[in-house]
Amino acid sequence: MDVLLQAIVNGILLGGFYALMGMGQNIIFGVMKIVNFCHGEMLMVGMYLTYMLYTYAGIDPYLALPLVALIMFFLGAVIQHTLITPSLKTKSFTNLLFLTVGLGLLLSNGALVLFGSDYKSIRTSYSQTTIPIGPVSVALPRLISFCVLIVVTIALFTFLKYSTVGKQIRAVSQNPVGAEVCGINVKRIYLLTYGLGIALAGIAGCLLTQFYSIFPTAGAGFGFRALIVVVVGGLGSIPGAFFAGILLGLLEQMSALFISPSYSDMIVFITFIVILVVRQLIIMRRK
Amino acid sequence: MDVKKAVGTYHRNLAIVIGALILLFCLIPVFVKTPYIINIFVLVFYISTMSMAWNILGGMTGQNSLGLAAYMGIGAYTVCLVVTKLGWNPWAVSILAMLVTGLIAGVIFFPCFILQGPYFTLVSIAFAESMRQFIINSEFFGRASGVGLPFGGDSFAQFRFASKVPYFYVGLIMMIAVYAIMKTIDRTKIGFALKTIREDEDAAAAIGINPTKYKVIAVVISAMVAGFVGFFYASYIRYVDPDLMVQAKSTEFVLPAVVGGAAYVEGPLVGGLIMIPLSEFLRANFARVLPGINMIMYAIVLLVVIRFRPSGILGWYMDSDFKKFIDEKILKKPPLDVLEEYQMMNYESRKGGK
Amino acid sequence: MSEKPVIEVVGLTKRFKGLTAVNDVSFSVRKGGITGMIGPNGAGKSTTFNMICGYYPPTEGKIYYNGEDITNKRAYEYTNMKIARTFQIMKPLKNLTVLDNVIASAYFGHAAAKSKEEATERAIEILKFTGLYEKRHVLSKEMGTPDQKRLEMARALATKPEVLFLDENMAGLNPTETAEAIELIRKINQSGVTILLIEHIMQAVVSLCEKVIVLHHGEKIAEGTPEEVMNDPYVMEVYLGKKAEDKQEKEEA
Repeated sequence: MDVLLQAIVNGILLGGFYALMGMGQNIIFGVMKIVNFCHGEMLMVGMYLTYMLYTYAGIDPYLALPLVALIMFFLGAVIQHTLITPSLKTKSFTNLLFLTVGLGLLLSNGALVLFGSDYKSIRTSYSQTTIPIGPVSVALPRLISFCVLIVVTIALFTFLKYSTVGKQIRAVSQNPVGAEVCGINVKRIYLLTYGLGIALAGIAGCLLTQFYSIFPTAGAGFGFRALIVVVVGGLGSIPGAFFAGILLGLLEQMSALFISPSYSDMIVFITFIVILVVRQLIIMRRK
Repeated sequence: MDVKKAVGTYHRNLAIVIGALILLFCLIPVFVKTPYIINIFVLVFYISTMSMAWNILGGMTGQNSLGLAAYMGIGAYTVCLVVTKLGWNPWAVSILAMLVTGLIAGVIFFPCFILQGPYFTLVSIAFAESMRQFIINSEFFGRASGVGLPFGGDSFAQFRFASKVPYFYVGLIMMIAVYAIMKTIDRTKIGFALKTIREDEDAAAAIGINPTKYKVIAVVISAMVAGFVGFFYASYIRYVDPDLMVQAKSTEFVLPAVVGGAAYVEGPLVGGLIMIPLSEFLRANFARVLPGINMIMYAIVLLVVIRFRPSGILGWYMDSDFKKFIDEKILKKPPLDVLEEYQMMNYESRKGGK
Repeated sequence: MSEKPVIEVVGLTKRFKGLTAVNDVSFSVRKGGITGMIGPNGAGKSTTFNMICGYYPPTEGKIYYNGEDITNKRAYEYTNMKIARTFQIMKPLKNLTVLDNVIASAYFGHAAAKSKEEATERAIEILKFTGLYEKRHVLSKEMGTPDQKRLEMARALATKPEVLFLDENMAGLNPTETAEAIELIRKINQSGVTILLIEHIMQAVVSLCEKVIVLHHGEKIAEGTPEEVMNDPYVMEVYLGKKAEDKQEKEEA
């Protein structure tokens, strides 16, 4: 029973990262209708940034969080401005797809050149601290991550729902031409959206450094799971991404517990295929 | 009769240029003895072939798959397992490998055809990754450590050689044969159906193309070619493990097509011939100091091409004065009207002859 | 000239999640003639059209073609039955030349070309017929609206249809281009092709059609020769926008 409870708690905490990643991917996909195939690599960049700030400037990972988010935001904005916006004009989804694939290659191999392939980690005084919650013990960093996730989710939801810029973002995601006609600067919104999405990946990366090794391909698994979260949670839905992320984390932990840890990846992927196909069948039935 | 003469000259010139190119490639092992260089050419041949396999699905049909490496892996596994466990002849198994990959693509993958655009890409990745995970977890497939082929003396029947040169020639023939198949598809009914689907699925249905049927055809052809390349790879490396099936490999196979020009059958060849030697050169010379430098170069070329020449190197060539020069001065290509007239003349005379 | 209609639509209805887009529409198309379907925006013309062409399955109703029930046929089976269509929003194969666009069509349908040469020969013939021959090596995305509309028709014709459905083939054309398009449609009809067309432009409908069906709010409100329909008080009201209360009275009645 305790094992099960522990697995549930771990699943929820792990799912929090998928949710964070999924939200970033969700607004990018929702607004520009492009799949950001370098989302996992962006998480990895966030991890290395946190690592550098900790090692060279001695900044605690949690204090570095806003800084990392800000740097990632600008990185995203620059990429959007120089590469993605010009290519959006060609309307070739093949090209946009391979643009982000190419960016992913550049980032992961860039990290390889700069930092080598060895695993790095950050060990702070509190990274081993655990807090007992009933019969379950939870590592403090994981608990903090989850709190950050909840704050970010609420903030993002409120931002998109009530702020002017948030409303503009939603307008562009509904219909870019219509939004442009209404006087919204669509290019600026694209810039903001991509920056925001990347910043979210950066936040996830920063939080992850506490209990995950840092290496050039660290983000790959998270990148694809972010896409699963988008599809399952529904386009444009922040609460959807939140719950889909948690569900995915739970599914992984449960299948590891009840079937075998080595099959948990396969189960996630097959579930995803089934969901994609069933979802499309439902859409076709409605027509 | 001017038409006939002009077109005849053009066809003759074209044949000479193509013949000279093939001859040039055939002569490489005669003059180059370093296994390192020969190895680069073998890589060019099989990666370009994989890229052509991707291109019929991605470039021609507009379905961006990112899971082709898994089919190559399945092909390689089929060869390694059947040859070691049942002792069949590898050449015979290559056909079996194509059947297996074709069946997986056409039957198990079938429900995924209803997905479009980015969703198709996602499902192709998930499908490939599930196959890889299945193999990693299966004792039969040798788990993460993979399966090898028996070593031994040189034998053509076993497609086993110590030297790289025989692989060079088989690889070259494989690449040319697949190119010929793709070119034929491009020019005939299936090609037109696939291109129509790429441009607009509703428009395709309106003229009587069953989009699902033709997408299945494209995916099956693509998977079968990948299966055959798997056979070639397994015989060359004499070993296969699940790392061959990772998504990064699938991406690597797509890059030559995108860089070369995915809209053209020749795109993967041009991209492969330029990119792979460059990448191998960087890997050999700088990998120790700067690991991953070859992939960085790949990525930068890819980004630059997409940003500034979205139709690839060939797309740029097609609009260039260089092509005009080659067409007019070297090949003496007659205007399109003349070629058309010639084609129709031939058709009329054949119809009359019947 | 047979009396049996080539296309017969009975009680066609389409509901999207409670919204009834088309309600109980019935009509028939005479073989060899030109039948028009008109109606204001949102009248359900395109929905009706898409149902007849196999793109939407109808919620209720039947479609007969030469007496055979084709209600459940898929869109891609139509050219095999000698029926072809065009799209209101043009769908040229953008990255192919005009010639290749038409060759692609010639490969499919009931008279599918057996070889590239046969397809090319038919494509050239049709391009000459539709007046696009001179532009055959142009990429179709580089052409203007009038030529793309022509290309739509050329692509449909390349499947050698006996029945042709034209979806707003003159929308967005200026008067000269419209006149040319009318001429082309008449020419197609004279070559023995039955035509059903949706049109906004009254001039086109009046000069071309022998029979007109008027849709409004998803229902058929009139049917007859262009003169009859034009003089129908309700049609005039719908088109010229009579006073609101009159309309309401009529609906209540």
